[in-house]
Amino acid sequence: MWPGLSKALKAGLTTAAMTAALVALALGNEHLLRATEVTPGVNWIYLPAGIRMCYVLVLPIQGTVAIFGASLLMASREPTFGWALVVSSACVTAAGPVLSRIVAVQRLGLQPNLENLNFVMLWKLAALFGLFSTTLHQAFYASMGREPAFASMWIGDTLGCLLCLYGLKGLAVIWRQWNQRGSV
Amino acid sequence: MSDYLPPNAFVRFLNLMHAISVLPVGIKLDPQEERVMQELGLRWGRGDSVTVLAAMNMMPEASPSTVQRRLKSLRAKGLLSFESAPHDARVRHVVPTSQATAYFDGMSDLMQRAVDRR
Repeated sequence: MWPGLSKALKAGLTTAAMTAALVALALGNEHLLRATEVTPGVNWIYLPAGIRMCYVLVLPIQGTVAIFGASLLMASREPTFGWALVVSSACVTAAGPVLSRIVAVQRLGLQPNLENLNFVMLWKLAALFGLFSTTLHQAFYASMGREPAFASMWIGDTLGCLLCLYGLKGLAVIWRQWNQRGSV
Repeated sequence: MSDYLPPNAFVRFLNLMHAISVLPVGIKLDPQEERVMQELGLRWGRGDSVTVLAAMNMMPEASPSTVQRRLKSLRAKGLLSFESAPHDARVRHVVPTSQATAYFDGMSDLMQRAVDRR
């Protein structure tokens, strides 16, 4: 695929596409699930959490860069954020999934190539990713003097993660049915 | 494998998609679908490969067309799929999906829990 392009450019394009997908989902979540917003940046359902988890599980380095890039773009829309806060926010967002993956591999026994990943482990990972993301974000928000919303953010990230995974499952089923249509 | 992705990225992707595909969804089966799954489970458990034609005739209490409809509905629910035989594309086999494996595992678990309660 993409003959003639350098390895670095291909990796960059892949990461850019991942970033764009994440930004699109974050914007979609922001507009479609506005009713579930608790405080700025905190939702009862946050679907991009699922994509972040998938990114970091499959492509840890490119996934982290994509999450960082998407968070930079999203945070830069915040008028009260200076560049330092934008970068800090992106670092916090990207650090959560990475730390979760490390803990999952070292403490939950997740194989790096995911060969022992099953649905029970996926549920645990969703809760773990939500916990790390929420803890880091709430610490960051607390340093800015925002009101705490730990429980709602953790539930939002975990629920969003699970909904996203079930959404992917539904798409996979539809894809399989589409490929097998009209045949018995 | 692409030279710009980690060498085991595709393996990780497959493992992730497999784990996602067996996420429990609380599939509801009607009694006839359950019977079809039981009959298929018996044959798969013996290591038999089941053609669609054989599956349609495996239940004496149901007509072949009824079983065929149930096979289609079970496929729509993601519990089985149809694969062409390697030697003859006209012959199609009914094969279990990872969802079917999870279904039978769930049934075994329920039986184990029922026995443990006694």
